[in-house]
Amino acid sequence: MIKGKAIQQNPAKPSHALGALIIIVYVFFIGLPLLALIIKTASSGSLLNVLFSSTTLQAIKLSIITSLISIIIIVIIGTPVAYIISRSDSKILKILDIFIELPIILPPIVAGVAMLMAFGRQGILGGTLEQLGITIPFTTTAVIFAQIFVSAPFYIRSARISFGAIDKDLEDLSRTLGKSPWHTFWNITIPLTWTGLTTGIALSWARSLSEFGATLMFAGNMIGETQTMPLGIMTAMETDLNTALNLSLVLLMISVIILLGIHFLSSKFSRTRV
Amino acid sequence: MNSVHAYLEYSNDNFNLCVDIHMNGKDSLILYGPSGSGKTTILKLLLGLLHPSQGSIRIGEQVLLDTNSHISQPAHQRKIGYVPQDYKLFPHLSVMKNLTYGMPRPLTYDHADFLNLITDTLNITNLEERNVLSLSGGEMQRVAIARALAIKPNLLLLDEPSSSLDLELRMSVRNLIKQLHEEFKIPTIIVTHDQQEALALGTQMHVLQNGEIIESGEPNQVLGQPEKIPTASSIDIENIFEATVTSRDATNGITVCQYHDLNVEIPLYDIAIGDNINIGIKASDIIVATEKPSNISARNVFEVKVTKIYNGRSGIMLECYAGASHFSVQITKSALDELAILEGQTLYLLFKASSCFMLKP
Repeated sequence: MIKGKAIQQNPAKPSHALGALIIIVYVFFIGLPLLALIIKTASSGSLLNVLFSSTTLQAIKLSIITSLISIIIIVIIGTPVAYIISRSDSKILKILDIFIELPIILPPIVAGVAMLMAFGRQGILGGTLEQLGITIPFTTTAVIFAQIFVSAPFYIRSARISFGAIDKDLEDLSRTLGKSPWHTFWNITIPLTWTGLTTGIALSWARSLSEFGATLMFAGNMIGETQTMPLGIMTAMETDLNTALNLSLVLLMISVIILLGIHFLSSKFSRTRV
Repeated sequence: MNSVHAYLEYSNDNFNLCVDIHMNGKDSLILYGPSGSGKTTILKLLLGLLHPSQGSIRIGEQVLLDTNSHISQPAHQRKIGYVPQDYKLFPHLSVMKNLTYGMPRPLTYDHADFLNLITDTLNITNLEERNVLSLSGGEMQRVAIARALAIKPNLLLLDEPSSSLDLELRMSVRNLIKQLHEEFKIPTIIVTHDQQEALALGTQMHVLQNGEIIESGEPNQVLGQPEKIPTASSIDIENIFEATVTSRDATNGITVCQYHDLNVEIPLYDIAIGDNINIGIKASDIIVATEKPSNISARNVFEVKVTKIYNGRSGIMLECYAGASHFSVQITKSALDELAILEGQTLYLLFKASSCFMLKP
């Protein structure tokens, strides 16, 4: 009787409890593997040894350098692409927009095969490139190609949504105040879309860092040349679990640092612009 | 002061616009019309934010656009100040940065002095370091006007300058715009669908409908006694009725027309007996009496029955009939209370012949 009365007085309570339970289950599901990784790595006691081994350092260095180059290229090319698509009513560009997002759902291994068929020796452009003395597959350039292919859509999508969401009249108004489209882009468009752009950079960079399938297929797994951290982890899993654990923890930490760093910069930039 | 000449043709989907605008430098031109009539499109064409299929724009000696000669200055080179309806202050910049956005960097002494003059005139000096998101509607508008003036424009465009402000602020904004027009001497185009605003701010007026100027003139003339039925409809002339000319008295300057059973006297027009014409009279130009008046100068006195009493936009509205002849009459609430007018009551309506005007189709 008392229970029934309590439920009548606060009918939202069961749904609150159910909501809390679902959240706990989800946090547990995501948190437990990460926690397990940290605990197991710590208990292995070999973090520093593994971290400073030449193979690990090479993988970390290669991952950071290639992903940095990739994200710079993605931002330079992706920003105008996203801006043009967001400002255009062209049906061709709308179709292109869907096409650009294809790599998000494409299995990375398929992306790797596709890139081989384009740039590989037997590929459509392979012969021409070879005649020019350019070899892309199974080089560090191929790592960058694979990263750009799979992670660019994350940035372009985020940038396109941000550009589409801002008030275009503000850009028009800037022009009526004597400012060129270029000045307007840097002083109105970019600051107003900054949060969306940095989120896109964070997502895209994190995706580049974790890229595995396309890299393996198109760039191979050569230490110091194409073996990025995810490939290093896979290789280590076959022979040395401790190395795999330590590399995984380092990759996790770098990803978290990038994510937090960009969010921090984004919010700081938003505040200081006023 | 620069004169402004613009001829603009523009088409988009099912909308076609064709207007010819001429202003002398002292003019404050009102573009008046309902939503979708093309008012804001004209502003955007002048600004260079839209491109006409045919047209020319000249301010003083400067040609901004001439499609025949393939001249089209981009928006950022036109020096036309623009204050949009919802101000469009840059939300990521302070008030000061909004104000100086269009000014050269670094600010010269001349520019700083000019900015001080503007901010003093608009009384926004104390707002300079504020975040624009913390400003009230009236403050936002003054900042938007100041920002547009700061580029020393050759032409100033104001889109519905007081539409989103409350009544009291509207009055002060209108006074301010008049003061700015006198002080800075910039030809100004004001888009509005508010008659009071048009009367308060305009020296000239164009009435727009479906992308065309249907009537032009001084605001008090156009809004008081328009010449055309579409204008009368768009400015809400409450009484527009068809009548037949029965006699003309050129000596006394009177035309008598038959409106159902009533003989209505209107001013003398160049029309023939037997012509069917449209007559307009504003509801606020009709006087109400509860007893039949005598010895008065008004040429039109009719006995009517009140069928409906309701609150209108500017006062109490009475719907009255004399047989089949219908009149809408506007009175104040105090007049309604004092005369104790009730639905079904018999009243007398009085209006001067000169309050009536003939409308062309």
